[in-house]
Amino acid sequence: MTIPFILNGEDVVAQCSVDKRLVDILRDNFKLAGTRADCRSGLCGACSVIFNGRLVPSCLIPAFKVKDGEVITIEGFMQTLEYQDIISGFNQTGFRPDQFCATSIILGIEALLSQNLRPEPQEIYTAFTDIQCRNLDPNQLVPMIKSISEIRQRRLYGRSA
Amino acid sequence: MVETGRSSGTLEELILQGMLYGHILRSPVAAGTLVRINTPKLSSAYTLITAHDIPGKPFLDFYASHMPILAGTQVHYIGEPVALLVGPDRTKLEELARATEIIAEEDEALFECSIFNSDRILAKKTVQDKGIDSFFKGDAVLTEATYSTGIQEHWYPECHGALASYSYDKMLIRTATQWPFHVRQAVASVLGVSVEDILVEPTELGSHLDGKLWYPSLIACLAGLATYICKKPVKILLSRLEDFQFSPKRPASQIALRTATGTDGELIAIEGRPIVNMGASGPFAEEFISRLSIGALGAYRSSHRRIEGYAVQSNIPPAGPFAGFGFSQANFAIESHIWSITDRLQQNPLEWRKKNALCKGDTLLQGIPVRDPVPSEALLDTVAAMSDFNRKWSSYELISRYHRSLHQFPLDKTLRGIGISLGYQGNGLLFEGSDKGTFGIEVTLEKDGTLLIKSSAIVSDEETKSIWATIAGEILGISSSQIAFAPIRTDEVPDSGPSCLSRNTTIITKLIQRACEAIRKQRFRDPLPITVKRQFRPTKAQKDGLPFSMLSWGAAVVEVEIEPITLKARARGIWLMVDGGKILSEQRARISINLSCIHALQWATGNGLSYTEGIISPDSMDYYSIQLQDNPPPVYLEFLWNDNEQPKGIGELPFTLIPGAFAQAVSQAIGKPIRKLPILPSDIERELRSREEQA
Repeated sequence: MTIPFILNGEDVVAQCSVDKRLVDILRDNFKLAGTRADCRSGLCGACSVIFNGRLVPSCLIPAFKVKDGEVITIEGFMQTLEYQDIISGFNQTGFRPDQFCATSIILGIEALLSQNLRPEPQEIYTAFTDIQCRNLDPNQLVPMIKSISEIRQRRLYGRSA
Repeated sequence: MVETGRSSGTLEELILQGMLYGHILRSPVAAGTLVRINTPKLSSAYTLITAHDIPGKPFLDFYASHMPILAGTQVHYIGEPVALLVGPDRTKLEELARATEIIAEEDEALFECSIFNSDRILAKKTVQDKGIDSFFKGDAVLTEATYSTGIQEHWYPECHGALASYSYDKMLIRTATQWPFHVRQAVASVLGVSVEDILVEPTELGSHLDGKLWYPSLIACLAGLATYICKKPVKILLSRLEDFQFSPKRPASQIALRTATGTDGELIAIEGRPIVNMGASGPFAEEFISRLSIGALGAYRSSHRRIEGYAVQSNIPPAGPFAGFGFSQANFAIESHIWSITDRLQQNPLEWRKKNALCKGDTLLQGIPVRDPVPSEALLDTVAAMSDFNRKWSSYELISRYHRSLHQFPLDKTLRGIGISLGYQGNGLLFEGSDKGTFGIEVTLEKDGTLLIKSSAIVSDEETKSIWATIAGEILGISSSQIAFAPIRTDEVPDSGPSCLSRNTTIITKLIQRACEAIRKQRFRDPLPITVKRQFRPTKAQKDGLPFSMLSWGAAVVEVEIEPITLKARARGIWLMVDGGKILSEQRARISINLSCIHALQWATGNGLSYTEGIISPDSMDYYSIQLQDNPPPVYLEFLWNDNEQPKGIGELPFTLIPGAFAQAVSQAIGKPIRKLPILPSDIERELRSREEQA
C-alpha cells in the first residue's frame, strides 16, 4: 500500500502493508530511530509521536490511519525553537531525562504546552500518566513545565506570566 | 538521538552490517527435565544454539552459586533460557519461536518459601545468643509478628540486551551494565577464551536501580556465544514483556520478629528470622541474607539479639538487587514492628525511637562497630518539627482510639495516620566474596595540562562526572574544561568494580581525590605526563565481613489518608531528614532522593505484582504503572549540615525509611497493624473486617 503523509513538515510516501505500525514505518522506512520501539502495546510511551497535533503511541497506529495525516517525530521537533525552550527549561531546573525516555517526555511537554501554555498541576500529571519513566518525578514535573512555559512566553510575547 | 548531554547511545540504536538477531527460547515448565526442542525446518540463515554448543563453562559463576547460561537437561523456572534462535529477520525469528515446541517432563515445582527443606537453602546467616530465651519468659512485654514484602519491577529505560561482534581478533560486547568487568569475565569463561580477548563497551544505562548488576552478563554470554558460533554480529534485545516476566526482580521476603521490651519501652531482646525467596540459582544470596539480617535489627540498640536468616531457592526466575540488597525489606519489618510495640505501651513512637536508637560505640549484628556519632536525635527532632509530627500523631491517635472503641469503623469518613522511621544506609563494599578484589582508577596529567581520568565506574547521570571534575580541578588548580574522562572500554580503563551501593560516591570519589593529591605533589618535580594509579584495597576487617566503612543516616515521616469507600491509602506528605556527610551537589542529591521517594512509595502502594504458579501473568503488564502522577505527595527534604568531609551514599535511604513510615501511618489510621508490602485496599479491608469480627 502507498501511504502519503506529512512527516516533520515534508510530504513523504511510505510503501508498506496496511497493518504495519507507525513506529516500524518511522524506524524501517525513514530510519528515524529516535522513536523507540519498546513495549509495542501502548503502555510505556517510548514510541510517542505527535500525530495530527496529539501525542500518541506510534506502536498502536496502523499504516492506513497515517494516510494524509501529519506526524512529528523527535528528529523533526529538534529543529524547532520550541525544542530549544524545552531544553532550556531542563537546564534551568536540573532535569536530565534518560536518553531512552527523552523522546516521549519532550514530545509530551510539547503536546501539552501547544494546547495550553499555562497548564494546571492536575493537567500536567494527567498528561504524563501514560509515560513510564523511572527518571520522571511528578513533583519536579510541575516546576519544570512552568519554567518551560515561562521561557516560551518570554520568547513569544517578550514577557513571562 | 536526543541531545541530553550523554555520550553513549542505547543498544536499540546500534545496527551493524550483516547483524543477526537472537531470540531466546524459554522453558515452559517451572521444574523438570528437558526432553527435546522441535523447531520447524530452519533455513541455512537460521541457527539453533543449545547448551551443548557452549565451548567453555556453561554457567555464570557467582562465587557461591552457578547459573546455567542455557539449561542443559534440568530446567528450574518458567522462562529459563533453553536455546537461542539466531537469524537475520526478527519477525521471522518470532514466527519460528512460536512454531517451536519445547518438550519437558514436568516435576513438582516449589514456589513458596514459608516451609522449606535444607537442600533449598542457598545461604544462611545465624547469630546466636544462648541466654536470650530467658528474656522472652520474664515480665517483659512480648511482641511477635511476621512481615512480608512483595517483589518489585525495575522497569529500567531500555530492556536488557547485548550486542556482540568481532573487532579484529577480539570480541566486542556492548551492553548496558553496571559492571563491565563482570561481563568480560563471564563471556570469556563461557567461550573458554582469555579475558584479554573480550572487550566490553557499556551502552546508555539510565536509571537502573541496581537491576543491571549481573543480568546483562547472562544476556552478553548468549550474544557472545551466538557471535562465536555464527561469526557475525548478534544482537539480543529482550521485549518489554519478556523483560517484565523473566528478568530479576526485588525478591519477596518474610521476616518474623519477636521482641521483649521493658515497661518503659526499652528494647531488651530481639529475635529475627528473615527468609528471602531468591528464585532459581540465587546470585548474591549471601549478600541478601546478610543485609536482611542486619536490617532486621533496625537502627536500634538491644543487648540480646538472635538471628536466623535464610536465602531460599525456589522455581521462580532468579531475584536480583533493587536499590540495595534487601536492607529496605528488613527495615520495613522492624519499623512496622515498633508500631505494635508503641501501640501496646501507648508511647509516642518518636520518643521510643530516641530512647532506643543506636549510639556511637554500639555494634550492629556480628559486632560491626558504629564508629561515628549517630545523629538520631537531631534527625528525629528535626523531621518531627518539619512535619508537625507530635501534634498530628496525638490527634490521629485520639481519633484512632475512639474509632477502635466503636463496634464498626466509620468507613464513610476519611481516615488519617502518621508514621515515623529511623534508619541508615551502609556505605561501602558488598558482603561475602563478590567485592574482595582490589579496584582502582588511573589519572594522567598530560603535557598540555589537561587531566584524563580513567575508571570503569558507570554513572547514570553526568552530574557525578562534573562533581569529580570539580574536585580534581580544585585540587590541581585547573578548570573543569581541561578535565576529560576516558570512554569506558575494558581494555582502556582499570577495573573500578561494580557501580552499586553508592560506591561511586564513596569509593571512586575518594580514589580520584587521592590520585589528584599525588599528582599535585609530583607535578613540579617530575616531567609531564604524570600518571597516578590508586586502588582501593579492602581492609582485613572489611574482608572478614565488616563491610560498612561509614553509615549515612536518615529519618522520615509519612502522613497518610485512606479514602472512604475505595480504602486506597494515599500519602499526603513525606518529610525526610538526611545526614549524607559532605553533600557534593545539593541539587543532584535532592533530585536523587525525591525520585527514590517516589519509587519507594510506589513499592509501598504499588499494584501488587506477584508470581502465580511460577510466572508473572502477561496481563499484569497492562495495568502495571511505575508512576504516581495522580496527586503525588509533596516531598520535604532537608540535609543535616555538619563538618563531615566524607561524602556518603544516600540514594537508598528513602527505600529504607518510607515503606516503614507509610505502613505505620496506615496502621494508626485503621487501628490495626499492617504487616505486608505493598499495602493494597484489599489488605486494609481485610484488617478492618478482622477487627470487626474480633469486636
